[in-house]
Amino acid sequence: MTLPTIAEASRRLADKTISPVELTRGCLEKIETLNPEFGAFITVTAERALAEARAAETRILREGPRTPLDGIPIAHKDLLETAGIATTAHSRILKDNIPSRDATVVKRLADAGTVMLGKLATLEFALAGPSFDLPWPPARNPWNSAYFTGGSSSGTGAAVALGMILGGTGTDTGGSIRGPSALCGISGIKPTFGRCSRTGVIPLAHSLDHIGPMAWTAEDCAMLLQEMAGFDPSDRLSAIVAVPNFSEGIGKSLRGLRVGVVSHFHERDNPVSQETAAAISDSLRILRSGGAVIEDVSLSSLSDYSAANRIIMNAEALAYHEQTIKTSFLEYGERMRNRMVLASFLSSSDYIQAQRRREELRAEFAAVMENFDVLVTAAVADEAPLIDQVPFWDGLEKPSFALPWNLTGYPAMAVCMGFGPKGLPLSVQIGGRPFDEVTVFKVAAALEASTNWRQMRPNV
Amino acid sequence: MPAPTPEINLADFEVLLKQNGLPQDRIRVEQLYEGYLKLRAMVCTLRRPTDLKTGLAVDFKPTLLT
Repeated sequence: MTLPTIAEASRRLADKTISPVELTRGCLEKIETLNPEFGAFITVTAERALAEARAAETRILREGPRTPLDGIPIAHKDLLETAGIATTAHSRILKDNIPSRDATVVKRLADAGTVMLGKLATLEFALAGPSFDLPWPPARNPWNSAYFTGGSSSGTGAAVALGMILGGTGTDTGGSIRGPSALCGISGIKPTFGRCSRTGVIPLAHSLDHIGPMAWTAEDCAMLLQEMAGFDPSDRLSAIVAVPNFSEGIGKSLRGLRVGVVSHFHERDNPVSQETAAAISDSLRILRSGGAVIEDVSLSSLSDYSAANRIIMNAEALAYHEQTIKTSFLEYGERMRNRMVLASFLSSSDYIQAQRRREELRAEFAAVMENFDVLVTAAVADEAPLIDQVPFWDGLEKPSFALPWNLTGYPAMAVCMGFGPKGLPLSVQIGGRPFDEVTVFKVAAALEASTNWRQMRPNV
Repeated sequence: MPAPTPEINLADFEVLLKQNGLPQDRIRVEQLYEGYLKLRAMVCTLRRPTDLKTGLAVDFKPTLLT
């Protein structure tokens, strides 16, 4: 079966030219064949998935689809609680953790009629990896399994690209949706802070954590976010804002769109490969030809954003793990242990200074975004590294392009914009204004529609 | 990123590691020290006079983003 996008599958499910059971079986076959090599799934819930698919089939035949996602096979990062199904955070610490409730986002997607195929690999507690000393192997790059997926929503990135699922969930504290989306060649959005509830999601760093969708196309991400988003009183940082039709801008004219390019991010602060630079240029050419107005813009150095993010992230992560570390230190993987030891050397003053700097950076960012609808930057600097050559202190090395959007809470999306000399994906990042994911999707979808990169799938 | 400024040397760092009470037998001290230097370099970039009017951003209020 040729794997459809969510949008295509939704249309075919509605006109009954494909059934949820057929779709789910096709995904389960791919999981069975490919998961031993790529390690995208930690837990596969095949029987439950087929039962849900049969229920969706009956429902669609009787009443038509409940939502555009009715009968669509998805899976969740194993950081999102699923009632009665192990939620491990890819850690020995939680290998027997069976939650009694669904995370709000999991419940909303289930209520929309999605078929849940299981739980997806992450870096340990979304922080440290790839690790080879955990109960499950790390996920591997869908285009070449010798390479890394990026982290931490690594299983979702691999599973979507391999066609094991049509879409899935990720979390993003320092680029954990956009990094794997970029390195795996798919689309993934970190929505605005507060857009999606974090209730029932194992935290990494409470003031930086975001939940969002990952899928093959921007349109698919918009469809997933439509059901994930919305105020949740059980998350005190959930935003009381209206949920728009996230797909409403897709296919519309770009004329007059104000696009800022933060050239110093990818030219000076973290110089990207020649191919990634070309991908950014291609993106700008497409947007300009569509009528957008492009202008270079300057922000503080990426290193400033990086320093504030990493200090806040490590301090907040330590606060969450501190008690467990005291009792079960050696149960964590080596990379995670070392990150926590380092975090223990951060002082309260370090944390406060980082938060103060964050406020300054947020104010600067807000002032710049008064003049732009979106910013375009690299999503990652280059193609994926070999999985056994990821720097031990990855995350403390070169500054990440993702971090300004975690610090500020503004939405940002990774979009595949070609392939490099190793045959691995290249990606650009589209950052938008607060709660204006509609424009981000519009721009991302325009880039996808103007290229043929969405026609290329991993040759597996 | 500015060049790391070691505030303590490796031997002192080892003492600090012991003081934090975490098991040490499986930790490679030199590797941790390398990470420590990278993290301290980040911390140093934040050590500068800050406008006293600048408040904290410990908790975002998402609705204020609009």
